[in-house]
Amino acid sequence: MNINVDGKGQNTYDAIVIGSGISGGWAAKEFGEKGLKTLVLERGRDVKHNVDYPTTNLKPWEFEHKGQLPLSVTKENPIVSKCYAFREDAQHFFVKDNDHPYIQDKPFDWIRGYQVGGKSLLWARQTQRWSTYDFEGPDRDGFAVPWPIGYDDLAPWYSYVEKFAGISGNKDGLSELPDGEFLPPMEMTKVEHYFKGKVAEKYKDRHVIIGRCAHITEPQPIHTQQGRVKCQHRDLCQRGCPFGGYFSSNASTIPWALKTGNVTLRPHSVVHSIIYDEQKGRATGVRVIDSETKEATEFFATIIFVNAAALNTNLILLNSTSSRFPQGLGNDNGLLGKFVAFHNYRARVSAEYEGFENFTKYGNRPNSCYIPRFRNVHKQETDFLRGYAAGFGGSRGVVRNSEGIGEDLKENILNPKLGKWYVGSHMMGETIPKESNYVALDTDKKDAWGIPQLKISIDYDDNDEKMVKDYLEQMTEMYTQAGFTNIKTSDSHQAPGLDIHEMGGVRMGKDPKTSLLNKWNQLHACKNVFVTDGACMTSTSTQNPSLTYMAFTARAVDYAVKQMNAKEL
Amino acid sequence: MQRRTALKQLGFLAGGALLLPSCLRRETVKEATIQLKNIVFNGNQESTLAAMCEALIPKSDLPGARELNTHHFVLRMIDDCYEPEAQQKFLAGFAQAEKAIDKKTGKNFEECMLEEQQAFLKDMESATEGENNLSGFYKPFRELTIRAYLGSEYIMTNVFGYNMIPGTFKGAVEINGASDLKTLFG
Repeated sequence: MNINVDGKGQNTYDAIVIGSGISGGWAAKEFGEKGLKTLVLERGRDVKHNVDYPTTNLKPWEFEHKGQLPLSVTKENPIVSKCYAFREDAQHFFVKDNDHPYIQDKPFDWIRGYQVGGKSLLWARQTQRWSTYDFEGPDRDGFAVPWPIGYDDLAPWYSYVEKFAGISGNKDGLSELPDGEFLPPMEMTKVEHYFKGKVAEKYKDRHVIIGRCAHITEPQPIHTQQGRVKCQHRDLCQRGCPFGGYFSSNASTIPWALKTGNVTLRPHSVVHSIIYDEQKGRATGVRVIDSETKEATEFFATIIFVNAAALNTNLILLNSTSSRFPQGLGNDNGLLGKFVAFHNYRARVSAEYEGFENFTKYGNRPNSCYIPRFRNVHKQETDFLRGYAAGFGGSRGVVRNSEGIGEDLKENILNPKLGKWYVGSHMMGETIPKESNYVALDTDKKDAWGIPQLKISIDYDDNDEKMVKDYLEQMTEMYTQAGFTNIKTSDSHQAPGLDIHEMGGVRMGKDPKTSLLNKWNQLHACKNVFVTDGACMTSTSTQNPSLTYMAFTARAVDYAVKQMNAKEL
Repeated sequence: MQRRTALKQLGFLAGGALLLPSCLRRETVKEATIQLKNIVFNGNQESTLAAMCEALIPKSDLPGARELNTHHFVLRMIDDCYEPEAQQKFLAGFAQAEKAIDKKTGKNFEECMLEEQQAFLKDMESATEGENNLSGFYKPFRELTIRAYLGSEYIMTNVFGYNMIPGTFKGAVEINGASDLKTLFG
């Protein structure tokens, strides 16, 4: 490797953050606000809020294919084409299959967003706190390793990030899904309200609530200061929101970080590895390859945060080898890359409801309802471990007769009728982290920047199959109790990955023999390197994970800066 | 175009007018007004297709399919979003339709009166029920024309009141007999 080591001084920072997605953006903001000279490395191009949202204001008729992608695109991209949001309006925010190949030991649809903001532009914006039962899960049920922290450790940091990000929700008072710092909730539709009532009537421990989501429903001064306003219910979030109505790094943390004057954002910077200094016994910097020129440069810092997105964080650490760490940085126990888990999104149940014929809804709601986990919450009750949460939504269909020719046809298609109310639900199952679900570096294949390709070996197990069956049975039962008709269940058998909730590989734990990170998200064996993205997750629970990454990140930065100031780092 | 060139080279064109379908009788072959990447479709064919779209959804107090350029969307989608096999079936079915109307009326589609055109579309519709080459053209033609028409700026804004920025979401809106489409589908 031809390394440019000129100007070590000007390449030296207090902190380096690898990645600018949902957690990297938070690290940048926190370091910047605390006055640390910070370098944020992003492997993709810059995406500036508003400036780089090319489709955001396009009307449906302005899309050449009215949203659909040309066959040439879907054929070249069989993996990313499986993602629901990979369409004409947002395809430019997704990694194309051929640009960044990886090896599927077992089928794994790896969906990535390589640009400033990462997948925070594309996420589904559901934000639920973990509860004490979620953190206690592995210890109680004897899988993975015990979490080194509990709900009380994270609760103040949830509050901290929620206030800044702007989270809409209802205070439901549920111990299995703690309330947060909520902006007003979005409304439920008629049939959703009805279902909520029916479920409450029939089941003591099951709750249908409005989704808690990262949308500003009533801007607070902190949001106005970010230049963000109220969500306008366009429901076109994946294009980037010109109102900053939903939280993304691009609309929120990154511009905020840059405004401090302490943060430098460097796009097109592919991190090859972290540099470990044997004498000093610490990491001193990172090796970066320019994605365009392929020129290698080294950057140095006291603190390094790895927020490259779960699997890429694993890749960077695995590729950071030295004589002290021949198996990858901090990997004394050989567990780096192992115990990866995800969320099981395979199953869905739909149905219809006859009633409320004289009601409909107005506008779009970039949110849905949510059913928190009700299986095995307080104790083990089923023949499978853990449980699932469920998304739920109900709206009215449109019935459009498109028969006839000429005036008849015209009359028919221009006079659609409202159809029956329909409801739909999907499961979000906790999967159990196992050593056999792992990622590793391929020994032969490298990418265009000379970095080993990632080999992914992740699969479902019997526990997942039992959970799918139970979800389908329970949801069918709940629908039946509510008087829904035409109930249809389905199992997509989709490969892991498409949930875009891959987690673990650099798990937190109390014991350096069985985990990689301590309770501050610090590598046990290399204390100035922190991991606060999905890679740090010891278990997955059922919540959409991003809010927890944000809270971990803010908490870890706070700790790192205190340690640095106390000369401990 | 290739076919026409071939016929010309074989010397069929000059004296062959009576033997050829009307669609090939036109003196000049126009260039299509839309750039296509995969399929070959000339301006005369485009003009026939536009007339077919218009016959399917004719002008009244609202614009018809031709005015809203639905034939361009039909061609764009066939060209970009359909498998090569489906593209060939579309073209073959279209050619068959042109021949059939010539055989039936001795005219090309555009020369026919609206009633004749619509009667012909009806024939095609019943003929395609038994699955044949024609359906490879007629089914996507019909589906894409309707999609283009309903998805056009004119219809979306003027008929359905498309509002990109609703500003709010109401979970329960009461409707009654007087509720218009904009309320129902807002």
